[in-house]
Amino acid sequence: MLLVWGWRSLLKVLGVGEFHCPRCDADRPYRLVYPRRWFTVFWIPVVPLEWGEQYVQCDACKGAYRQEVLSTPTNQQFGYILSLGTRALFTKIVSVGFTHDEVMIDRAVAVLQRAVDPTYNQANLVADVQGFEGRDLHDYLTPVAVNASPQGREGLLSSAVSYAWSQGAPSPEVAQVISEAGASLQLTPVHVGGIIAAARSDVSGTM
Amino acid sequence: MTELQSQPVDRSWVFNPPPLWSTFPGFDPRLGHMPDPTWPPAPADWVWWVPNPAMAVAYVPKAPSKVRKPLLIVFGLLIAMVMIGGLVANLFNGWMDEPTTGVGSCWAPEGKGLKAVSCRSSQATMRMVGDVKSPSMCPRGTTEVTARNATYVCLTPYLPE
Repeated sequence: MLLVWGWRSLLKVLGVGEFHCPRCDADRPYRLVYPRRWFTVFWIPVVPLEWGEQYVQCDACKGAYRQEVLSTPTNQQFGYILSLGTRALFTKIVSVGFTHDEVMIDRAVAVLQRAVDPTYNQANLVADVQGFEGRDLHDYLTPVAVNASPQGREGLLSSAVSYAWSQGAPSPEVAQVISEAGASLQLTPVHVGGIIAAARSDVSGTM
Repeated sequence: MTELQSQPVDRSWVFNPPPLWSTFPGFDPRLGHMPDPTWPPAPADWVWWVPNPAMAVAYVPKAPSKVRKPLLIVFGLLIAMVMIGGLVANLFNGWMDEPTTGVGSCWAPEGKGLKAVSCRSSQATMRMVGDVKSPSMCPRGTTEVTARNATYVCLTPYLPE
């Protein structure tokens, strides 16, 4: 009697989701799987054998990655993190120094329309001022610091400095917010000073 | 939210966003994703974590990985090269076994004369070292000369390697 036997690997799916696939360089669906070898008789798995190492499999390119790949945010996640951090920073600056300055409120809305959402309006800014009140700016900028490039972090702070200094030197409270934001974005005080000097010269040059 | 972020990243549980929270796929406070402060508060006793619905209750076959495809191709090419090499070697050996009649060929006694045989043959006793017009032209070391058509074949004893 002919007996066909052998081994094959089967995958137990531990989870699914979306991740940033390094090979596709895009957001792709993934499966977190746990492989296990089985002894087969006539291609039917009969005896479970040893477990393999858990890994992440891209549904598109079938590439396999270690689980650490899931800690890299997807483009959508990074967009959310950056947009929330930007809103938190500008809201904090407005609430600390410019709550009664219509010109600066309009400028903040214009900046956030460009950086966050073209439909962002004054009502959104009011809602943000109320929503972010009492919350720590550091909590919203730390994820940006962890995931953004140095140029990205510098660009965010530079836009805030340009805004805060657009009517001349701001109040010490606003300058303190800028300083704290620089620290949360993991920029050194010297770096922050350089950004302020550069942004101030740009502002004075355009006026 | 701090207590949510302190949860270990156990993929068997997923974040359950409250109603009207416009979270994106993969929103997970354990990964540092902060909720938007303008989202409405969650209902009292909201269940923040639910079992991952994607957890399989069965096994699935291992999908062929594109990562290993080039390896498979290289392996297949190697196998093909080995097989082709074997075939060529066999043909070459067969060709080598064909008896020749020129200088360097091997010969064996047959009746009163000689016959050409493969140098691999155990019958080979003589090797042709010259094909000349006169026996005096045979090279030094020739032990036997035999006439063939209009020429003379010079032979020496053949010692197989």
